[in-house]
Amino acid sequence: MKQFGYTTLTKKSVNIYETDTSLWKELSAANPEFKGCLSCGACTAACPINNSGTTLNNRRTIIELNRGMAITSDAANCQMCNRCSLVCPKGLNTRRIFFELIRKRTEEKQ
Amino acid sequence: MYKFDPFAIPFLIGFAFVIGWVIVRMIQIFIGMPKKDKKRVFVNIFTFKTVRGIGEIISEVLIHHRIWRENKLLGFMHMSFALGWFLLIVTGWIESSLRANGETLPIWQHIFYKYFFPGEHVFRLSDVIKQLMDLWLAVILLGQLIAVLKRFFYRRAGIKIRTRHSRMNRIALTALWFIFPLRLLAESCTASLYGGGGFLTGSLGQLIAWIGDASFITYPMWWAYSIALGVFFCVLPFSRYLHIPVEAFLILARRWRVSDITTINRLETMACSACGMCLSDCPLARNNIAGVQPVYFIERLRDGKATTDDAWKCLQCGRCQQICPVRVHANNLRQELKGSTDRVEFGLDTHKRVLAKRVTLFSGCMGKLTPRTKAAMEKILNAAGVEQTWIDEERDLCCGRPLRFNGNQNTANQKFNELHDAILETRPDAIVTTCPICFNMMKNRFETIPVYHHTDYIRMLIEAKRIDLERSEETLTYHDPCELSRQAEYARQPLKVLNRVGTMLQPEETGEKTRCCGGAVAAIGLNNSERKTLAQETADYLSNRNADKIVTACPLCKKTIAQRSKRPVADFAEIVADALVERE
Ligand code: SF4
Ligand code: SF4
Ligand code: SF4
Ligand code: SF4
Repeated sequence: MKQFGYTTLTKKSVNIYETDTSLWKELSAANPEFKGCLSCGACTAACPINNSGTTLNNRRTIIELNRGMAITSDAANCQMCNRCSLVCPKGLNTRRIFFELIRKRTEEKQ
Repeated sequence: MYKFDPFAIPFLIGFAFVIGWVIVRMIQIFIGMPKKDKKRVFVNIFTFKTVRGIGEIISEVLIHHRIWRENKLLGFMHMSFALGWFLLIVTGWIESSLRANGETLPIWQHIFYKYFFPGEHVFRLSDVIKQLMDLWLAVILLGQLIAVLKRFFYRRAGIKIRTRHSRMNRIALTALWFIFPLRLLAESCTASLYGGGGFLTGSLGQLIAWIGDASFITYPMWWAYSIALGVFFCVLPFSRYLHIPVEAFLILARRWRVSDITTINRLETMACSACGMCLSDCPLARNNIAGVQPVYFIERLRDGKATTDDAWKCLQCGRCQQICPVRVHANNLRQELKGSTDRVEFGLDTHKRVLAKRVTLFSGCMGKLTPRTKAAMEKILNAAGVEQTWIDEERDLCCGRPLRFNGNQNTANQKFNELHDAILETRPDAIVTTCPICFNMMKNRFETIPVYHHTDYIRMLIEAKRIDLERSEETLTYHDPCELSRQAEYARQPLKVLNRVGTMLQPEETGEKTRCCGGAVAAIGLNNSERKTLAQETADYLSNRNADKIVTACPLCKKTIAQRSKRPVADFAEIVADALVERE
């Protein structure tokens, strides 16, 4: 069996008055499909970059965005191979999350 | 016999403008070329390459041979305008020169010959030339009639989707459509007053003379004709008709082996004729998903207004560039927009072909999702007695192509170098990959080692009689992956192999005309439902032939089609492995 390279989230409480979900609102407005994520983790399990021991984690990123938490994945690591989308039971364009994050970051830099 | 008349001024202004504009632009492009390519131009300019280039200019810019091949009616239409007009100018020039009898005439007296030399003139060949001139004009007018009818009955003309042109293009088109009827009227009116003219202008002239006195409209007609020419020339550099001069330069640049991608991209941007041939077979146009086909995209690119959709919604399946009569490589233009400046070559690996003893195999990111392909390959190679190493069995490697498609060339290069070094460490005699996307990235990049796509390698094994196949009763539909059939130009051969093991039921659009499965690693901007629509369309299209199995040769195609089709989908290697005959 392959180690999926992630563990379940440690117990954490989220203070909804302090979190900032503006990024999620923006991204999910442009890509409403992300709202359909089941958090099943198939994408992360299939991701070669996650498997090679980085923090890149689609499922977790979607959850973090949704809850307005700090994002632990480095989007720049994604190699855009599309494996995550192919295994997603909902057929979501999962790598786009990272693509959009990269785009946002380069836009902010300019 | 030097004469001038102010009506020629609009034409002269337009003509000078367009010539000046093209010369300035081409010099700019030449200056912008890297040294290496400038040298190539000088080395190749006085060789046979130029002659071949001129031959291609005649067959493409004038005759439009590639359009003929796709659609006879459109081919005739384009040819009648281009070749007809060209012959009209050349024959007219000969006519006026013969008439001038050794004297040199200024350009307007050549162009408006009938105005400056009205009536019947007798000189050598004058009768033949007179009729020829009218014949060319008639051919152009016939082409124009088709063009007008095509606007209304475009489906009859074999055009599935109509192009919506920009304002500049419409102005230019209107001017162009006025030119030839005005010329006909101007010459006929002149003929009605002074006689002369061939079977068209002469007869029409007699008719006009019979109706009444045309002297009051003749001069305005010449003005109108000259103005139409002037307007056309003045808007030409800003419209699609820019392709007329630029395509010739593009053909020459290619013949002279100019390799700088930016130079070729600039020329191709200007050489697109907005003919709209790329529209009909684009899956995004057929399904009304996005208007990012080259005909629109390049127009925006010229104006510096390319959109994010242009970059991120196109599948880069290459169907449009395959059909393009100008051979505009829209994928390269899109890659440039995304920040990638190197191109992926067409064709197969060019190294000497060897049936190696030790091969290193690479599944690629997608290939890891289709383990059956790997198992089948192992079986085939074992049967053929080839020593194999699977490079990404334990770890994940990436060829970097997906990153290139998504705008990060630097990281892509790092990924590729990692893969390159890992493969070299295994000291293979040949490299085989089961993914056509990886194949296109890897070919010709391993110094002396040949790289094969597995379909190609298996075919070599069969031809060398290293494995034997047995025919079965199965019916198969082969889906050509875009990356294999178009980018690697490897389209007919897999079918030949499959023909030996089963009965092929091919859909109409096959080979290099194949439809994209909808999975494409580019097109990150497509959302869920758009992808679904595309994949469903192709899956249905392939299932239509009711074959027992759909066969493909790309892990991405396989996954994408399998998710949407009711019929089982198998890789090429699986089919061959099933048909293997054990040797004692
Ligand atoms: S596209 Fe990115 S996130 Fe998805 S599997 Fe590939 S590397 Fe992982
Ligand atoms: S595979 Fe799809 S549904 Fe499952 S967590 Fe990933 S994105 Fe969400
Ligand atoms: S890209 Fe090619 S096919 Fe498309 S409009 Fe331009 S010239 Fe025609
Ligand atoms: S590459 Fe494919 S999807 Fe993109 S414009 Fe051309 S035909 Fe359409």
